Amino acid sequence: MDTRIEPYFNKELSSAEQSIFEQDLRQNQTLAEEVAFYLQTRQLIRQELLAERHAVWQELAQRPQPRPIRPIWTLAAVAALLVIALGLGWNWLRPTSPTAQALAQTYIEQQLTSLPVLMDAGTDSLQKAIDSYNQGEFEKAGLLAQALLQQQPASAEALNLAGLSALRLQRYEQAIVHFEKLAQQKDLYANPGTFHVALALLIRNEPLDKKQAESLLKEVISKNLEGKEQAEKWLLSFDQ
Amino acid sequence: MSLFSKPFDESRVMDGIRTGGSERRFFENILYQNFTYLIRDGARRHTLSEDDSSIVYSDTILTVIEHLISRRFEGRSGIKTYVHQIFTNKCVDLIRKHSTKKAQVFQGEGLSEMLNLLPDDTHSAIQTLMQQQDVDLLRQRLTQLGDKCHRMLWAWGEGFTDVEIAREMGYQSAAVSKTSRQRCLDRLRELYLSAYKN
Repeated sequence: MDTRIEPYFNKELSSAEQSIFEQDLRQNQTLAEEVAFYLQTRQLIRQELLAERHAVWQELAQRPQPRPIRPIWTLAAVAALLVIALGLGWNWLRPTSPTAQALAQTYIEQQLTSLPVLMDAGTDSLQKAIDSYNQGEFEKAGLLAQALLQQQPASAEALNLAGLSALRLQRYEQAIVHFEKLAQQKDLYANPGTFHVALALLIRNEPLDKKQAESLLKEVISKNLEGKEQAEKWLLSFDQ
Repeated sequence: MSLFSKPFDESRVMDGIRTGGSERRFFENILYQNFTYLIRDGARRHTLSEDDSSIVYSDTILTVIEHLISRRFEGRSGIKTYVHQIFTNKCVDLIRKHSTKKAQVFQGEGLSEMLNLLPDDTHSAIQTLMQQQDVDLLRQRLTQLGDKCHRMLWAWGEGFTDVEIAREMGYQSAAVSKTSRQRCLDRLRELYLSAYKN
């Protein structure tokens, strides 16, 4: 084969040599055939190389790929997120003791759904209010209690019933007002006023309500007021 | 693989491919593995089949390797940009030439460039001569060359210079390597022509 072919395609010939080569190419059929053979061979070797490498790379692609390599700061960030996620997950998923609000709600359902009929209920109005309450007619019970309070503002039973009716109607502020008035009465044998204020606060569950309720429950315990036994149980469960 | 090992190191891969030797294939494989997501991209963006996209990608990597070896890739852009650009161009070429033979599609830009070096008035004559050649026969005769010629022509096809081939194959000088390679081509042509005439 003509030794000028490769230098020509590698642009290694001088311009004079290049012109002579190109002139020969136009006139010399053998040189043209050699150039065609040279190019065909290069092309074929290239195709064979591609086929070979493609086969190897295809095999390589079938193998399990290594995981992308992460810089150490990425790993650290992932680890930190994992810790946070585990922490939050634990907080969300761990078996939790019932909330203070749930405990208070359970107490109402168990202890305050049905009020005892007063042996010494002085008026039919109070008895009717209690009956209405026991039947779940909290609105009616509340109105009857309010009417009674207009006549007897210091009636402990009426205050308690008005407060409980409001509590069941989720009128917490109104309930707390009635219970606080009840709590202020000092001459009662058993006064649930302070305990019921705490109960209303726990159910309302607004910011600082629980803290204030705890304070009232401690007062119930320290002053040996009505609801002391329940207050002790709740405070113990709040500490856990 | 260590979790704390270094990520894809462009310059290390480029040097590894250019340096040659036993580690060259290792670095070529790293280069290939680093951008394999392009195969899916080619199938999705250019609506190529997975097979076509896969071979276009292999062709891309082989071209990048050739350009690295020949120093045509000078590192002005990142290797990722370079790979993406070549892959996109090859995908577009394939779409344009989809009605033609696949072998022509993957003929490589090297052939087009070399044909363009020829004077315009010789273009068609050379291309006609090439079309008249029996490529299957040439492929067959290529396998009949001895191992040394085969290795030498393959190294030449991969873009290695005669200096590098001489070093790799233990020749005294680049000139000796070049002469030996030309003899291999002559031998191949003799084998081809003798079979072609018969």
